[in-house]
Amino acid sequence: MKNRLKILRAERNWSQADLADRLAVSRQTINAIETEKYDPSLPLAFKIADLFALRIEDIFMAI
Amino acid sequence: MTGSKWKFAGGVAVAALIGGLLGGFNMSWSREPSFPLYGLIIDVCAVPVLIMLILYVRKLKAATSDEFSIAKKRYAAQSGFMIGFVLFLITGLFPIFLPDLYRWFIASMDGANDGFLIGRVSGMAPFVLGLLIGQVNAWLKYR
Repeated sequence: MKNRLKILRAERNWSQADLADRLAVSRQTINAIETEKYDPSLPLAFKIADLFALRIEDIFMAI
Repeated sequence: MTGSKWKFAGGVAVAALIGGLLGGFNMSWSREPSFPLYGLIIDVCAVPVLIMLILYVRKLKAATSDEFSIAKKRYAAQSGFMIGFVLFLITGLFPIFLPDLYRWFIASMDGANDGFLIGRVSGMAPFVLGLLIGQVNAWLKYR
């Protein structure tokens, strides 16, 4: 699943570790999502959307 | 992943300690002519504590687990088991395709006990190997 996580993170000057801390997950999880090797669970997707004050579909694209 | 790993490790250690002590004491008490009353009272008090502690440790484990690491472990276990099963099926072809070697191998054994032991090891080995390959597979996929 494609996503804009890396762009959104870069806009805020956050490192992967910063974002991981804010979402209470490991840095490896953030890296795997950004490189599209792993699709997050629905609760984590909601947390990400909440953190960036966006809708899930504005961050994750089905294609 | 909101909990501390040290707290989880401490919880596991305390649960293991209580479980071990309780098991050891019960083994000792059961060897006495009659099971002592104080042992029964200790059991009645300690077993619920142990159950509550195990449930608490499970909660701690959930709090310290990262969803990506769980997905990785699950992928490693599932693919490992599948690979193990395929390896197990392949070993079944050995007597069909190499009958002479198979007969020589059977004749080389000392007796039924040898056959039993080798059967146990060779039945388990493909799955152990499969689980190792599964770990490597997961590492390659998510590195």
